[in-house]
Amino acid sequence: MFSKILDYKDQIFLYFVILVVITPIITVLSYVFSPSTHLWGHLADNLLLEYLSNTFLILMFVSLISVVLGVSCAWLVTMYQFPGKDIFKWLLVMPIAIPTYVSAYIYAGLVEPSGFLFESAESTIGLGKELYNLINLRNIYGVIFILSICLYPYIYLITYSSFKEQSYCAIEVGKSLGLNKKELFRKISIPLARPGIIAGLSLVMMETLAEFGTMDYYGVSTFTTGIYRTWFAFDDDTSALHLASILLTFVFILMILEKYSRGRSKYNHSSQKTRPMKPINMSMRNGIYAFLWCLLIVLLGFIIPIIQLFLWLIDTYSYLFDSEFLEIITNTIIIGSFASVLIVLISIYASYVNRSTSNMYTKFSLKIFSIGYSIPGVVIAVGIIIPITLIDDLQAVIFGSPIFYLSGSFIALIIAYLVRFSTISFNATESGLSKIKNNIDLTAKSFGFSNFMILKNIHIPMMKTTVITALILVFVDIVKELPATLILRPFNFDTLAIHIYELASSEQLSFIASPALMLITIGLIPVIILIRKTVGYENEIRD
Amino acid sequence: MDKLFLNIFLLSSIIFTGSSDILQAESYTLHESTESKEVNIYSARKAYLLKPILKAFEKDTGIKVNIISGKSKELQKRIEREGTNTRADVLLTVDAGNLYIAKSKDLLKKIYSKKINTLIPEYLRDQDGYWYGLSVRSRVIMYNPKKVNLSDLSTYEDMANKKWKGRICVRSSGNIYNQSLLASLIYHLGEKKAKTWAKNIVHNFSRKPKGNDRTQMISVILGECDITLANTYYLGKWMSSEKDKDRKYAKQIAVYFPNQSDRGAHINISGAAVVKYSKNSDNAIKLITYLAGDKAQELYAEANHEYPIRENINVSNIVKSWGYPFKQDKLSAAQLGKNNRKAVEIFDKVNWQ
Repeated sequence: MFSKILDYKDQIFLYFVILVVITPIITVLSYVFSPSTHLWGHLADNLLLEYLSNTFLILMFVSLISVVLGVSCAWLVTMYQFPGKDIFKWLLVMPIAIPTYVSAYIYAGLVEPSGFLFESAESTIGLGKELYNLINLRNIYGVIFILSICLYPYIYLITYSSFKEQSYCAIEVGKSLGLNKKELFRKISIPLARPGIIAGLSLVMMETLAEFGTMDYYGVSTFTTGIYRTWFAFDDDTSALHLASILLTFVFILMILEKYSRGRSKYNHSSQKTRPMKPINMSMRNGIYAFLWCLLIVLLGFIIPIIQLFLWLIDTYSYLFDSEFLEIITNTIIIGSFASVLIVLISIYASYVNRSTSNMYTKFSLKIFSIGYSIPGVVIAVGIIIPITLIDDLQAVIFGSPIFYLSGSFIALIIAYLVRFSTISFNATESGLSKIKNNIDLTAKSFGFSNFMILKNIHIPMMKTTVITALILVFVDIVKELPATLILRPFNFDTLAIHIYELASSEQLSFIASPALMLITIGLIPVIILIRKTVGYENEIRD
Repeated sequence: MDKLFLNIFLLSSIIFTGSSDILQAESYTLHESTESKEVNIYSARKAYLLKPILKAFEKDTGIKVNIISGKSKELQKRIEREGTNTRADVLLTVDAGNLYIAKSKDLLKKIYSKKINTLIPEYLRDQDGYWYGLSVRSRVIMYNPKKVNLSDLSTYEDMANKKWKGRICVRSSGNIYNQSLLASLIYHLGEKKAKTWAKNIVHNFSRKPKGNDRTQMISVILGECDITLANTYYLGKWMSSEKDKDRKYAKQIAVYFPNQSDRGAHINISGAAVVKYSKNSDNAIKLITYLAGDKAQELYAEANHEYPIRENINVSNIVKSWGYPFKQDKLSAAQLGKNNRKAVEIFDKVNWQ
């Protein structure tokens, strides 16, 4: 019945957006059926097994570790009172602003000459060499470590708010049924937070599958590095896209499993009213354990990398005053804000259409929105270059030469961000909208509100927090994005991520300090706003 | 509630207008390009290293330079896909292998300039005039002087000797510098012997390949291995650090130019080419000529510690300290490109990760 709410005019724009997002993905998938090449045999014989097993191991351990880190911290911080809790609540989110590849650079540099761990070991006990030989991160364990420590905040952030939103009553009921603390955690809080944990986890898994920089720097071969190598070193598009399509199939299976695991069970709150949880006081000893656990994670994920960057900054600070540096910062902020606002507006609109339509095709094509996040930036970039250059060619045929070059334009870059990151904002706006009852739409309609007015006056204000969260997550991700930006950006347009990459690849790590710190700061400002919103929200309830 | 929507609207309109400057700048360059007052570069060389030279070029010629930097193969792919409608005029890239591939894919334009040909020695450019070397880099043996007798070092071939068992560390084979070195050995020794060489080197590894060239040097200094293969300019950058501590480490490793009694040490180039469908090829040629000239050569040799293309150009003091000039393997750079694919396959077969 809701399909009637929406007229075709509303859908045309949606189909256009879907077309834009789907084209690069279809372009990649279309190569599945091209015949195998001589190289494919070589790959299958020598490398495929390694790609498979590495990818699988990394995915498994990163998921496991980041769930443990994210959920345990969220639980401790929401349920208990212990020393430093109010600061940890903030600090635990911070690693989200550090790009994984930057953490990878820093941790590799830490135990090498000019790294502070090495230098302090060398100057105090003269054991720098031993430390260097002991801590070798340039392997699969290093990759797992870096990704877990960088990505767990996605799970922490979402689980934290699920725990917060849980009604005190649910816990009280549990208590009255005689459940102890462990059982409360296992039988009530975890099932209630489960959709949140799974949402966070699927972001982590997709990031892991798409990650290139860390694996490349630490020399671990996975599907993504394999695709890259086949594509660029062997210059074999067909085999590369074969690999890419295997990766995509893998993601589809994951998505189905995720849906299936959720099953038919729904975990709805019985009432909209929530009373905030009163934190339980911990015993002295447990309080110290909780403190140390959070401290360890914050140290590894945030404080140690930041200290190292500041120490490198001391050697290279003069660079901050370079006139071009300011331009690079401006570029980064402008492209990040513009693209994230656009992406979030589009996903609000798309999830609104999704909610109001029963058209299977529309619903199915909207699913495409959720794979983009797991596609490596390089693959997306190539998937975009192919159709876009075709349009340029078409323009040339019609007008003699292209009137507007799409290749190397901001449009190409923004499409890449749209394909890659709309997953995050679409998931957020979709769950935000799902909390608003359909009756509200119908009532508004009966008062003669247009769809646009409903969105503007009712939905967006009602899911204010969701919209802001989506905006911030997308902004931070765009600002950190490297591979697609590197390939697609226009002339004379460098961002902080690009600059960090260039400095790091000239093998002078200490020079990345100023752009990296700047990038982290730009990412942190919105994250702090986000946390303040949640804290503000808590206070409102308390009042 | 309306406020929020208004804010979002305002924010996006600010961003729209803010970014419209960029969009305008973009369309401005489009119109300009037809008047040929500019030149567009796709560069695999670091943009920040080139900037001083390009600024000098802009000042001397009045031609505006637009640049996008990236990874060599990615830029090539972009040129390939953009086809006739590419805006690239000049491809600046590292490694002869990359230039060779670009030529064989028909991405480059043949040019003839007497001036360029006198500036660039024959072995550093394509014989058909498709690409031109602009700097020389040498991949040499670096060793720990405390652990290795100079008399034990001789050639690349000798590194396969059993006496180096457990004493060599190298970078992964995904790296084009190693690929080009093996490509040169395929040319000099034949495919079979080159494969045996690679296999024996793998036997001599002290550890699995990891990290970049700097990592290999650190491994030598910290005793993880005794010798390694690395490009000299990476050491040059390390030695020129402003920090005493950094320089102290860099002094603990020494450079050895192998094969000095026969063909010479392996060299490679960074180079430039005019893109086949360039719209400003006159300017592109001007730029390449400029980059091959004395001024640019000196600036670059000093900034990046690479070797200039002519011996009359000054090298940095650090570069001098390793010994200059040295005997270079004057194998045509094109051969490296030709044998690249064979090299990659050999690496995979002998399990050189």
